[in-house]
Amino acid sequence: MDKHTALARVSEDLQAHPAVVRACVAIINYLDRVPIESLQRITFGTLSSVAGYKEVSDVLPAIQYLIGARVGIFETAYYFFDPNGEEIPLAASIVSSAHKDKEFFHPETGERVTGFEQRIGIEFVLARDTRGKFIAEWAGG
Amino acid sequence: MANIRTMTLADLAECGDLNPEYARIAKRILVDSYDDFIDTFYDDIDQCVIEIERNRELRQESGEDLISVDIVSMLKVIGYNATHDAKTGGHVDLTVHHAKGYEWLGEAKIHSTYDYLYEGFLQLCTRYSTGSPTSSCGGILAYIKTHDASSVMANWRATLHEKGLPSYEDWDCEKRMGLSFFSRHTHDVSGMPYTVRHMAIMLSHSPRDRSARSSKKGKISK
Repeated sequence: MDKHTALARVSEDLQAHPAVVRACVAIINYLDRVPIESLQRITFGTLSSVAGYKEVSDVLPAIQYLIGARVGIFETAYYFFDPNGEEIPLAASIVSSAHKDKEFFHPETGERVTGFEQRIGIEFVLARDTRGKFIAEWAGG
Repeated sequence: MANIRTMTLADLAECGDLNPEYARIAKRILVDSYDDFIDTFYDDIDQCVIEIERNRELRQESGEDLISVDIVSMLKVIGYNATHDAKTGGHVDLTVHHAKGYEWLGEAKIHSTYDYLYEGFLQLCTRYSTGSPTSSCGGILAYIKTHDASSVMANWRATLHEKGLPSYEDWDCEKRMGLSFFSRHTHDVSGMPYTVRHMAIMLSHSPRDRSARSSKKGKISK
């Protein structure tokens, strides 16, 4: 989805929620402004500060809208932060199962990880479709 | 080490402890299968239904379309690509798409007779849906403007049971016991099981308190 369509949908769908509109617009403009290389990994913290929130959790309603099917700008990306300092990307299905089953096994050693909830990070990447559209807009000036 | 600005599952759970809506957002973010989608979506549509029921006095004159449009608007806010009257083998009342390609269709009827509800069921199951694996669930939304919605649903369940649909079964819905139930039968198009959630939306509003009696008397004397 291109930027203008995304902004139009935000205004239309969220008109009863002006704070969420402001956050979504700030985030979409940010994505349009920064070089695409800087958007390889997008954190809650980044999105929260872009949207002007002090509390990271305040950005959740905007994020859920932007990863939703209406605009689908982002996709989630998951990482396991190994106690040795290694970051291992995880498939969404593994995280979803871990969350439901309340157990998680180290992706390399196969050992059960206690307190895995503190070691699985959630970040975002631009959705494939969005990446193409934003790049096309830049190229077009 | 994790970037301090990266939120972990534990952080997300903590947000949910502080605010139940954040817990629901977390659940939506973690959807990764059609079953997850359906389970989460039913929590979400129940929240919309509760909101509609809370303001049911405003919807006494509303037709099926207007109530469905309200539900669609609420679903859009939380990221569903929901539409009313989309062209899907006909004009289905509610179409809901998830970012991962999952689909749910719903047919809405203001309850008048059980034949009318069955007509909606047939539209959903034989006209609009395909029953494919990423669209193997749908819903009947019964907008009930009469009293005793749970009896309406019990009678509707008994009516449906007697229709002799192939491999038919039904069971209680624990999320909204007495006001919702599930049915499953073999879908005509796909030949695979198709699950329908039947949902009561309670719109009856006839208060009998003093204020309502006075208001009624006032209207009659005019």
